[in-house]
Amino acid sequence: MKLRTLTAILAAAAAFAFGTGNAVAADKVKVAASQKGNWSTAMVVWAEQQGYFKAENLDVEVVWTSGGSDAQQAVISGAVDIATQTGTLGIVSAFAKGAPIRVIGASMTGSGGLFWYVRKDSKIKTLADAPEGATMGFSRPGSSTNLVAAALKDHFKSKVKLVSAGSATATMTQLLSGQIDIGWASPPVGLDKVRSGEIRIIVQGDDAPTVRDQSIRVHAVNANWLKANRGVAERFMRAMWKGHQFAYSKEGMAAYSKFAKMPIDLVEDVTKYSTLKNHAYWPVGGMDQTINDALANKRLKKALTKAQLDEMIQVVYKPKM
Amino acid sequence: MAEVSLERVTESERAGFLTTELRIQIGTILGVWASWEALAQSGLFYRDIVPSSLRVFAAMWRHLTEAEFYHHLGVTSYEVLVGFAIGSIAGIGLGILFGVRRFLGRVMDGYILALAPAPKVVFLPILMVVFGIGVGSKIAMAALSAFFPVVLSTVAGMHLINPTLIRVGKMFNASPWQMVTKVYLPSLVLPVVTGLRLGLGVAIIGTLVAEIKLAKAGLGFLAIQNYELFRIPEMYSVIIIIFALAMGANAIMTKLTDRLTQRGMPKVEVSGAA
Amino acid sequence: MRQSTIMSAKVAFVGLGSLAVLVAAAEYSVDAGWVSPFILAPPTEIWSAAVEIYKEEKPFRALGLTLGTTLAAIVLAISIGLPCGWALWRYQTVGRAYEGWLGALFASPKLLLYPLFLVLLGRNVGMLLIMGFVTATIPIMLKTREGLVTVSPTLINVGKAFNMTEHQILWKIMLPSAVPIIFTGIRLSMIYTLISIVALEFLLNFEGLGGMVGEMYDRYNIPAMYAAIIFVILMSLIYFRIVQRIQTWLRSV
Repeated sequence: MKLRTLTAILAAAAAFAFGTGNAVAADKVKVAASQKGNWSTAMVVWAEQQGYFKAENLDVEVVWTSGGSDAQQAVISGAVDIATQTGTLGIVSAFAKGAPIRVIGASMTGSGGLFWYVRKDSKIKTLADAPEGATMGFSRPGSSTNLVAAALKDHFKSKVKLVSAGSATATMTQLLSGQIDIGWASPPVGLDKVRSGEIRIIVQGDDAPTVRDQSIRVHAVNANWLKANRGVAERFMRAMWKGHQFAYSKEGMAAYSKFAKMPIDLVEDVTKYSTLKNHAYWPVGGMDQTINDALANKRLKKALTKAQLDEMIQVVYKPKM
Repeated sequence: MAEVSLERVTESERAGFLTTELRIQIGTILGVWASWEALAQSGLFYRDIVPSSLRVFAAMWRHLTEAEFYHHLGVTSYEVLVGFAIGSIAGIGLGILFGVRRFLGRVMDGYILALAPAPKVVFLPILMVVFGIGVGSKIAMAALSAFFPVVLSTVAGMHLINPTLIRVGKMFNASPWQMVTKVYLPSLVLPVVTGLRLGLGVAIIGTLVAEIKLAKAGLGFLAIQNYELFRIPEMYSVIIIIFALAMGANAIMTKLTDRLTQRGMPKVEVSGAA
Repeated sequence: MRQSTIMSAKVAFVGLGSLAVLVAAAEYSVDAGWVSPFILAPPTEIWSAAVEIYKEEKPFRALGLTLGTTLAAIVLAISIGLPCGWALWRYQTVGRAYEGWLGALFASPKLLLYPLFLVLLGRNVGMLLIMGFVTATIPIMLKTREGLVTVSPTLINVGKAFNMTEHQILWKIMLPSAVPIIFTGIRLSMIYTLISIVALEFLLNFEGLGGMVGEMYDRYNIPAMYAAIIFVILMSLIYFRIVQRIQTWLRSV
């Protein structure tokens, strides 16, 4: 009798331990994303929606910020663990000042189709001939649009004035209502107005040769969190890469069309501007250029050494391209 | 001049519910509303910057019947109330302390008066770095904003207390706690409430500014997110609701101060608290 | 007399002494690694950052921009607010009709309207000016009306006894008597307008004091950020003292 009772108890305990769903609780990850509605930043949304995070036993919470230094500050202070698609310019300067921040992968190499545009009746034809003081928008200080805008201004020796205008939609509003002269957008956002002729593209990000191989955005992580959770970081990146692959599939484009309330044929145009390759986590390119940009922008006092770069960039997962 | 106008007023008040003032107010509201609609329909502005008020009301209806909106409302209310409570309690407590311990009061006076005029928004980066991007930094901002008017008015109130009352308390060997509850606080009611009224106002503004800068929830965050996503009627709807709530809170506090002034308590002017 | 001088000396000693202790504690705690340099900067670094800001960032130009915008907004507010305040007094029922609204608007978060102004006026100083103007006008209107309403009837009767016209009574008796309260309104507007403009500069990355603090924060230059904040505190203090001095001088006139 006693043995039977003991076996019964043990069996019940075993059933309880292994039978109640996840025996091991999912790892929680807090992620800062920016510019909700943007094509590239939606990757983390797909990974969540399609269950890729769940499959890797991750419980991901996404916090939407306005980008640039806001997302980066969140990671530095530890309020979030990972900041996806964030400007390398800001990351480099934070790291140089000793911020606990690391790069676990590139997120956009080349400009990914970033373009700048004017109203159809604007007198500005090219960046070079833009009048002195004409305002050219970028999103937030420290962002990739900041970096590319500065590179373009430099390359074309333009006399424009760079202003922080916020998200692509906000910038569009400001341009169409006459608050700024040149706006920025990231496809497919803005393509409908290009098609209708309401706006005219005057320059693209890749027109600045330095940008073409530069990783203008990276996935950043809090250094202390990374030390303790390297495995979690790897699983996160793997799951998010599946999200990338989904985005460029037919199903993914249909999902984005619904998410951003955009017609499907416009969404399909995005492949003309950015590809899966642009989003590859590795290599993290053009760091020398980024460091020069940071020095020019007064964000860095001296260049990073190779040892510092090796410490800063720790790619945890390299997808097969 | 003055006498003649008075008579006119009494007559119209006798005219019943629709006093002239009320008629002016209603007229103004209708006039502003009509001009708004005219501007909205005129096509003068880039589409949607001045949307028809009907769309704004529709957006307001959607907001007030959506659970998500109440989540944001709850977050902001929580931040404001907790921050205001912390700032006020600290302000009243320290105000009483500085009133009792005059030397300490004079030393701290310098610091408080130095920090009071500074626009509190410049402290926001420090608060964000220390308290993070969640409700912590908003509560801290509300507390910091509310603290200054409250402490300044409490100190001013302490200086106004009749010294006889204090002597009487001391003669009866009152404990510090008894002094606070039976001598100081009763005399401080009006100055403290005046300070609290100002403090609540700046706590609300401070919270909203912090939410605009960096947040993931809250009414300020919601308003600006609607702007960034170009949902302008929704943006106006949130702004109107925020104004209604802020003005309502202020009205309650003003009624309170008016009641207390009527009871003959000395008025305290709080200056210099930014 | 001597006792109070000794008292003041003691206060200054304790006050400055405790400040020195705080500064030393800040320096030590960061150097020792107790506090992250991303939260607090050692005072020595703040000082060098301040020197650098002075050389490279033109802080006084930022100060000039902020002050200039604030003062321009106030001048505009006075020129429109005073007559409006007078009208609110002159037409009593209108004044009573709007008094409550204006009082409520005074405490309201008008800052939130910036997207509207941004779209209507563009990203420029004009937009800041108009927003500052909106903030500044309300207390001036309210206090002008209050000042005129609370003029002692005796004074008015004296004027009437001398057969002065309404116009003369207004300019020679009422306005001078109302000046202290009117100036309170101007003082309130000076304080709240500065706050609004600095906040907007910070939020919208405009140039000026608020923008300077925001820029140092964006660049993760924490020592420079603290230096900029301290600069703003000092300038606000001086600004406030000047406003107080003017009020004291007006009272003695």
